[in-house]
Amino acid sequence: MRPRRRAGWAPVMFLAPFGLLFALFFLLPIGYAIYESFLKVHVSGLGLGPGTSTTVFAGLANYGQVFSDSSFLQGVSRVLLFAVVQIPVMLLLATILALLLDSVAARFKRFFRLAFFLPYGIPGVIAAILWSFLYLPGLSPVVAALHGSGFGTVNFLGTNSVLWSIANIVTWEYTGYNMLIIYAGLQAIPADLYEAARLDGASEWRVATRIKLPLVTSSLVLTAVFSIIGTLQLFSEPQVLRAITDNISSSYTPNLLAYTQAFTANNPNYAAAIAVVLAIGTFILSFGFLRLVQRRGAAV
Amino acid sequence: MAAVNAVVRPRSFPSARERGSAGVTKGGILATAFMFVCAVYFLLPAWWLIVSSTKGPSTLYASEGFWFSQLHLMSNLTGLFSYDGGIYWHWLINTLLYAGAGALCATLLASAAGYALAKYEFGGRQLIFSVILGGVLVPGTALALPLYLLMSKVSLTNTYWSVFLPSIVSPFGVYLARVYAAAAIPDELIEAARIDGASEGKIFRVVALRIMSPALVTMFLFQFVAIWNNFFLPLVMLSNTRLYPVTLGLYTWNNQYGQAPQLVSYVIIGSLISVIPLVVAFLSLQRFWRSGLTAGSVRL
Amino acid sequence: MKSSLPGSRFRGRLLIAMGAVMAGALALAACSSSGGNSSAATPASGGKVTLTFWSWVPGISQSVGLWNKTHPGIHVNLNEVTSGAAGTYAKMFSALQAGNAPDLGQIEYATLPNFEHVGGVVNLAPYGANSVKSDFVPWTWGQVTQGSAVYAIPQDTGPMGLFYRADLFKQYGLAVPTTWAQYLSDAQKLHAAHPNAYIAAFPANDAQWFAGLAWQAGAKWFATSGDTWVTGIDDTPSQQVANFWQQLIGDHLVKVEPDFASEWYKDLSDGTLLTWPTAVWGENTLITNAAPTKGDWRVAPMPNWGSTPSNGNWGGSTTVVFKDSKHPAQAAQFATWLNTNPQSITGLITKGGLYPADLAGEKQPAANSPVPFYGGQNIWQVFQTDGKLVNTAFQWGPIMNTTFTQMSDGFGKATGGSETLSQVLASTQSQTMSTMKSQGFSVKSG
Repeated sequence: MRPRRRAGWAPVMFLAPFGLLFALFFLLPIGYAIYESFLKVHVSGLGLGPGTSTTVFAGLANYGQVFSDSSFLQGVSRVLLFAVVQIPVMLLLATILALLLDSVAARFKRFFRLAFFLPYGIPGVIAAILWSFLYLPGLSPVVAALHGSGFGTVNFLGTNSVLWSIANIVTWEYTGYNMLIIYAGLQAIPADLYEAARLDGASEWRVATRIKLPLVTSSLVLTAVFSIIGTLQLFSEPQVLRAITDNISSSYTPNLLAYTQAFTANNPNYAAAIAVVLAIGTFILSFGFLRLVQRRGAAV
Repeated sequence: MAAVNAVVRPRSFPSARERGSAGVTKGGILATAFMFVCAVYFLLPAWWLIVSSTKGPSTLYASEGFWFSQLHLMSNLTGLFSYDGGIYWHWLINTLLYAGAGALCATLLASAAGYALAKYEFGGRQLIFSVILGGVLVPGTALALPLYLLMSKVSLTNTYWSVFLPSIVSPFGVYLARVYAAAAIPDELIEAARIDGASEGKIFRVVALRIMSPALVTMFLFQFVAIWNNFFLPLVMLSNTRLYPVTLGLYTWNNQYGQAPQLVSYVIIGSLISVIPLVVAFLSLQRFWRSGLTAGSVRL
Repeated sequence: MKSSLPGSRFRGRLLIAMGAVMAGALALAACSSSGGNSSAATPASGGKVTLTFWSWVPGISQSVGLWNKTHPGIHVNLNEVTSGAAGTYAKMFSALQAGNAPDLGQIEYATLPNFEHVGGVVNLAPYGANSVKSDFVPWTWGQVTQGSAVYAIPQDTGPMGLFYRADLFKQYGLAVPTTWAQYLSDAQKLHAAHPNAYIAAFPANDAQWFAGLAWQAGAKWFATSGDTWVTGIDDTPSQQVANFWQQLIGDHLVKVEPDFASEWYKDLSDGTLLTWPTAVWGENTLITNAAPTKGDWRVAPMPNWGSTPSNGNWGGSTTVVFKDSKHPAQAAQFATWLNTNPQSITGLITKGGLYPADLAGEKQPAANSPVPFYGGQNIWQVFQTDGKLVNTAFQWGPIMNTTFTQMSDGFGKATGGSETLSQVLASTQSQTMSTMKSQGFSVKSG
């Protein structure tokens, strides 16, 4: 690469607008959340009426509370369970569909590509509202159809089933999007790579597993990282479904707990601690996942 | 300035046909059948949405879910757009503002930043990029709460800015821009332009932006969808219903059926209308952003 | 051509374009955000005051419109919001934190102490609130005062009663229950003969409803002793109610589903649910959401626990002035007028389905005449007599919002089968106490 010219002011001018807003709306809130998480409200007397509540320094008390809060821990384990099941299932489906679309054998590809991608165009909240109608026993043609085909009355909103009903909504929404990323990766593979294999008599299946899959690892990693980040933040879908079922508590996911603490329980300091823990946890998980994949890639 | 006007396009990708012969095979039929089943899964809720939009509240519960009944489409439409003083119009316009103008600004800011990071040498360049990349890994919802607390200190909550400003920061856009700019814009072209006397700004405008256009469309669409989808931020920031984006508005109606039973139909048809712009945007811009995605995923 | 210095003439069209977009957005924002929430400063001419008011009472716009017509100097903008528990309380709290709360708001008795605790409501005594003290049912005045401070004007009360499908009771041969024991046997008889019908729904999400039932049984969840709070969420009467409904749930005699949700409205309309133990304002809910059943419902007094009749209160709201209001005097004036003016009260009764806390309002014809939806029954009489049985010493705690959330979360688990309602009461008790302690309250159990 030829050496570049002395940079001068130009890069600063290009970076400055983004940089300023990034500092204001990413870095500053993180700092402020950390600041708020070290405070708490203290009450004197009965606590009613003005002047009875003061904000005091609390040290790590809020963080101690976070890690000993059973509803937080349950929310975290629930979200991790969700991630461990839903993400691989979704990515598997996305990969299969991408491979099928990329294969020579399938027909009507344009139509299928559009069909699979359509749900991504529906915002998460709307999708959750849509599916909430489809889960309601009195209204849903799906429930009616299952009932008619002999499956009995399927309860999508039961204590244990509601988590997977949420997983269904998320899968429905994002499979097409992930499929497209993988498909784009597949399209980038030069044709001569498989021409040689096909000339040697390799079946489509072998071409898919031995050649295509390894080459789309980076796309898969991208989709996996985004999925992890998204899953740990799960909020909209459970929040919408709360209106139709009693089985989603106000602390169902860590984000729901943070929201409840901030706005219903009036505890912004505790909510800030939860947000910080959640941010750090997500960062560690996604960054760790990236490192893990890169290291394994390098070893191979 | 011939050098400036020479546009370099990324290499084109081979189509399926170039990679092998298509024919009706057993594998092909299986693949198509499987994709058909998947397409039904992905399209069925959208179909239900369309059908239900034509039904009034009473027929919604009484009729067969997947097919039409008495047509109430016109009354649903007029009711939707006139309820509560035509607030649905406000919601649509707000969403276009937040998502459309927001994604536009985000793309401009991020492309400038990404270009600077890719094409200029300066101290701390890698560090800045790593910090920005870290921003991709931080969950947006963890930021919304402290952002809310911050904004309330400067009395900015419950205004357009409270949702608009955080939305125009797109770290992922910077990542995409940097990757694409580094890969697709040859240094020689920039040098030639400089020798010809073009200012840095003009180079960016005339050379870089043009070459980066597929990536720009990808960034725009990505941020457009991200803002459209963003539920937590407006939920937290806004309490004046006239400022709501359409997702938050429909969510609010979804919780108010007791006060006005006809809202069920409005939520359904409102959902349908609100997804039409998104779907149209995707369909019309899809060929641009697929190639942009490829570059992004390959480089991760 | 000489190459230009880098950085010069940089302010190209790019930045101008960006600026134009943002300016356009700003202009649009300025034009369209005229429906803002903060009370406007008085314009130079005329001195007209504008107030914002958040309420979810159906049809309250009629009373507000009447005020606006008769008080041209003080204009009230009504924001029809969703109910407090469904999210408006959260919005009020956050607006108070942000410093841009509306001037006036509707707050139920149960949540008022919570707002007092965060210092969100204005003491109305300096604005002459005490002059209307005698206008109201005494126990409601007790709920809105702390010592000499008056934090709200009572609006309505929520004495409970039993709404039941008289037609289906007759059809299925059920007796209208006067005791909870009879209620249970009715439930068993009903479900044995008709497995798809239930005596009622059990809404695990609605801890406030449960509170009303516990209230009827004689529970005392909160009390103050000097500067200490005494909490007894799991006291004996509450346990009695919990065990009763636990049996109904365990024997599948009630349908577990959230109330005020589309499925529940449907069940009320199609005969799946035969009764609804609810407050007087529930009469409007049925009229709005169970229209097909017009003429089928009647109201009876709540079933009793023992030989001494008693009643509880569910809901009932007040009107408060929030601390950010720039015109507290005018806001106090409106709040008082809204809840004492006879025409205003007529609107609240007929359109909002409220039973007024104003003593004179209780005597209005609107609150004393037959209601067509209920087959011409004068349902108000039931609540008038039964309203007198409400135990007026019941008190609410300072973090009721949190307590209710803890309880509904627990109920959700209980209806899923992992614990009993009784256990939920115990865990709510300990959770509330520990939350209060961690916030510095002095609290003991009792």
